[in-house]
Amino acid sequence: MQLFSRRIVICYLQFDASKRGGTLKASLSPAQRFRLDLVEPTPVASRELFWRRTTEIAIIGIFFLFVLAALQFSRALLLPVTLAIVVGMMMAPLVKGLARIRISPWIASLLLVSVFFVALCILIVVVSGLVSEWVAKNSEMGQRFATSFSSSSGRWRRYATSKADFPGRSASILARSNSM
Amino acid sequence: MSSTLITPLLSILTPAIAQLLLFFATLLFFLASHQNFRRYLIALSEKRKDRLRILRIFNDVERNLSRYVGTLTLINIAIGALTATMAALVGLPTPIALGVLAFGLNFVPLIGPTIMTTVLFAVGLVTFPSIGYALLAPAIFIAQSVIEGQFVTPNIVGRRMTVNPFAIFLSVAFWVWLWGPLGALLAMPLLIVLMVARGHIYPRSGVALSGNGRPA
Repeated sequence: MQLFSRRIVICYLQFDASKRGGTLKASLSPAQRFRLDLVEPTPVASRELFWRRTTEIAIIGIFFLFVLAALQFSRALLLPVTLAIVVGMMMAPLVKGLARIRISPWIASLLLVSVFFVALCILIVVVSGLVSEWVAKNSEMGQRFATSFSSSSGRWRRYATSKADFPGRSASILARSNSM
Repeated sequence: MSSTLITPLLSILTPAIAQLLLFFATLLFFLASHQNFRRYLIALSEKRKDRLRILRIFNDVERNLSRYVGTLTLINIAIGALTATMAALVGLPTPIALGVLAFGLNFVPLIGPTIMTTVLFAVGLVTFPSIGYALLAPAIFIAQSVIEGQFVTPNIVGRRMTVNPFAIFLSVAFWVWLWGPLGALLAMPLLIVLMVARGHIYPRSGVALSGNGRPA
């Protein structure tokens, strides 16, 4: 270690000498002059123990990385299963309640699953109805969007003063956009 | 022409249908063999103390999850009904569909209401000729969400159940990144599972994640 640092000093001196035309200045490099400012360093009791602990933490860290990769990889399997278990935990008290009035768990769960399925279907149908209606209106939508953006402040002022009804106005916008 | 349309459609739909089947089959089997599942879980350990701990964690996870999802469903039905009424009063088209959408989206914490506000604004922008009028429905919806989050839910669920919003946000971000939009639905339940397990394993360190600084 000592030898190594001395060698660096020598190199620096030679470099310095070539640069300043032979005037040898015994200066340390900035890297050597810099000293770390440590407040009350507390060394570990046992280095071996320290590295063992570090290894444990590193292995746990690697485990988490693998879990992350595994979760990502098995998304198609784990996502539906996890979702089903969460929903199932929510419904479990109902099955227990139905079991109390002598309904077998298989029939009770079949009933609950079909109710859930129907509810989900209704939700999807209603929302997709909205979406498809919107897609159908799409061309008209874009133009109305543009007009409402371009002169919104003027329109708002006009609305505030005249209080004209919206259907009539939007019909006039529609007529204009169709004629264009 | 038709084959070029059908092949990609099938390749998108087949995994979705398979996953949907997987979901319903798991749900059915989990519900039907719930008691057996519990027994297997207990049989995982030999020691009596560990068995008791597993059973307690399982019971608490189940109780907290069913309470959370149950309350959330009731609140969301109210939110959906209110949104539909509000949309009808303001004059937006298809108020019932908007109400159903609000009901469904409110299951996703933080992101759901944000998307709903945006949808209401977009619908308003298309329906009404002025931006000021289009902002009315989102403003009412935000007010409604704030009232729900600040006064209604804490009073029903109790202050003890409140979770740090930052933890919820991180959970949502993580699961959406990992599993896509459906992961958002799982964010809160999985966070609850994690918190329950942690509460059982380290009972006294319940300060870090609880909302108001008191131990959960």
